[in-house]
Amino acid sequence: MERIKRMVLRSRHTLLVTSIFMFIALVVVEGKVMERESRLFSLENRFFEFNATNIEEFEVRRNRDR
Amino acid sequence: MNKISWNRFPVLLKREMWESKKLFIASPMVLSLLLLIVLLWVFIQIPADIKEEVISNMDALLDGASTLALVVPFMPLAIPFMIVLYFCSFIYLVNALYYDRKDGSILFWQSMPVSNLETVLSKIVTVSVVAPLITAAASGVLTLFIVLALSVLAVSFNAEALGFLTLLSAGLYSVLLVYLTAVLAALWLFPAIGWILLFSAYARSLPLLWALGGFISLLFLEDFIFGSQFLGNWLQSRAGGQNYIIFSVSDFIDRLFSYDLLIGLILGGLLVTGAAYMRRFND
Amino acid sequence: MNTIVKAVGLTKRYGDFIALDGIDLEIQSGAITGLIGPNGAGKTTTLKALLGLCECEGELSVVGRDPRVARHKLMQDVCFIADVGILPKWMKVKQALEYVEGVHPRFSRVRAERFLATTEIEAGSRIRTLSKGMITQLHLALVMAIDVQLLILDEPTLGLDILYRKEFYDRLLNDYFDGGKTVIVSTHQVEEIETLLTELIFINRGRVVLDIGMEAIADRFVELRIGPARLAQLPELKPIYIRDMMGLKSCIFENTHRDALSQYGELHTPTISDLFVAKMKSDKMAEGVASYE
Repeated sequence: MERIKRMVLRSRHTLLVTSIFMFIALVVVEGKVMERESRLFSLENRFFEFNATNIEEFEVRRNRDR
Repeated sequence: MNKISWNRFPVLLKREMWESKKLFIASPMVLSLLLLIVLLWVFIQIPADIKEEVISNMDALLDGASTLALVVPFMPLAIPFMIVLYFCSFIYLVNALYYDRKDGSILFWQSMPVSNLETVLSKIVTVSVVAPLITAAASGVLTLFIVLALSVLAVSFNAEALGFLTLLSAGLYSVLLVYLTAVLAALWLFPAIGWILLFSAYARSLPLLWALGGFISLLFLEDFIFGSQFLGNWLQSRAGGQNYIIFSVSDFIDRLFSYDLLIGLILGGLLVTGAAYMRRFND
Repeated sequence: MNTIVKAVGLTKRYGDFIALDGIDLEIQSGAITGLIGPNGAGKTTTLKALLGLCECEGELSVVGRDPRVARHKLMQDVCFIADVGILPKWMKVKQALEYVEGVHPRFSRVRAERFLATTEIEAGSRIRTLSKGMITQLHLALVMAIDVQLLILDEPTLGLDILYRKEFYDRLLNDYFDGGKTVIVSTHQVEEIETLLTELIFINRGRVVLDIGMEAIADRFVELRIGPARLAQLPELKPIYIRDMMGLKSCIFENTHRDALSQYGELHTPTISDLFVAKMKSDKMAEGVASYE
């Protein structure tokens, strides 16, 4: 316990990172446990799923959605 | 001796008020004065027949109306005061653990037997309990003026002045509610208070930039590391004023003991602990 | 007589730069210790470490506590004045008094006000309107009204004019020091505090170069004034430092018997200033030699 404390308090930067990390971990855990709404905005865009090795499939899909 | 000594606390709060007089005392009073002047001007402009109509309408309204119901029209008065309080609190918190490092006076403060935790707590109590008190008082002055003006008007039109007492009690009750609203807002936004204090204590310069930049980065980081966007949703849900504008004391108690608020206290508490330890790095 | 400060192997690094390199200190209660060294020697760092304001390695005990563990508890028994004007500029004098009164159990407001009555400082004035000398007076007034065991002063008279400087040490010695309190003063203006000190610590490059009680100086160090020609005839003499002085050579010897030297010329006990220069120069030479090896 003391060793962890000394490690965290070694510098202002380690302290900051630790604090923020524990904060966000708690937020995520709480959200998962309470089954909160997770997605704020979805990045669904067919260009995001662009696979360079499979241009054909992309072309087919693009033409299909037109 | 524990880390917190309560009989020292009052002088710590006094010190905060001495330093931030302009932010927390002058601002709401100036606002009060401005609104007073605006209302007076409006009052003078309104023609007499409309005044009479308003009075007779009010007479009907006041007849048998409860204090609780009458509080509602007073509450919008809180809005400009809350805006000013937010603004001033924000500035205060950003500088709270930064300014004394910048000008070297931290060496004086740390030469006193006041623990880092006490220091940080005194700033939190200032912003969430003391500043709202002054804001509520300033809005109370305005409220009292309105009640007085309406009653004088009522008397001048020979209307029932009995409603005056109900109006007065509603006005006073609304001042209490303004205070509780401000306190509730501070508690609801406690994670934000903790966040700002952490960066106020951390940053060697531009604490505001660090606080905002850090938060935005965190929004992206969360998605990147955990694959979730809880933080963003959290922000959205907390930002709404409907969370803390209240219309009765029982309303206040309900919201106070709500799960969301309490989880916010834990999160904020984490950040505040970080801020207190951060005070050890005083260079 | 007990040990108020004990430090063993105090070390502080800022990245590659070693600010404190294994400092050992032991200060008894009732001592007035001068911590003397050139700029950048590590005086301020050492004092900050003693106050728990600076994280460092090594064993440390101040007034029976480890300053790194609970600074605020330590501050009930220790007071300090740092070299820059650190009193908050927005505060009024009477607010400062009220604050310290509310926060420090051992503060006597009456004493502080009595002290202030002898100065030109007004209760209602803001600290930003006071001159540097007056700010130091105010700080001293506050500190002297607190009954602590240990007082640490880090270049307290830096930048003050001579009147304020003299008054500072006069007040300290006459009104405050009662033989039971311990004082540690750091300065690079040696002459000023020469007469006050009971113990001397020279510090250079983060290391203690000399740690000696004032009474022991005469036993350990001796200054020989000798004609230059005569000196040239005596190569077996190994002073730690030689300087010119009104046509003579002034040589400072360490741990050399007085009797052995008395035949060659006038013997004196070196002043602290001379001792300081001698030790610094010889330390530098040792460093210089070491770097060539």
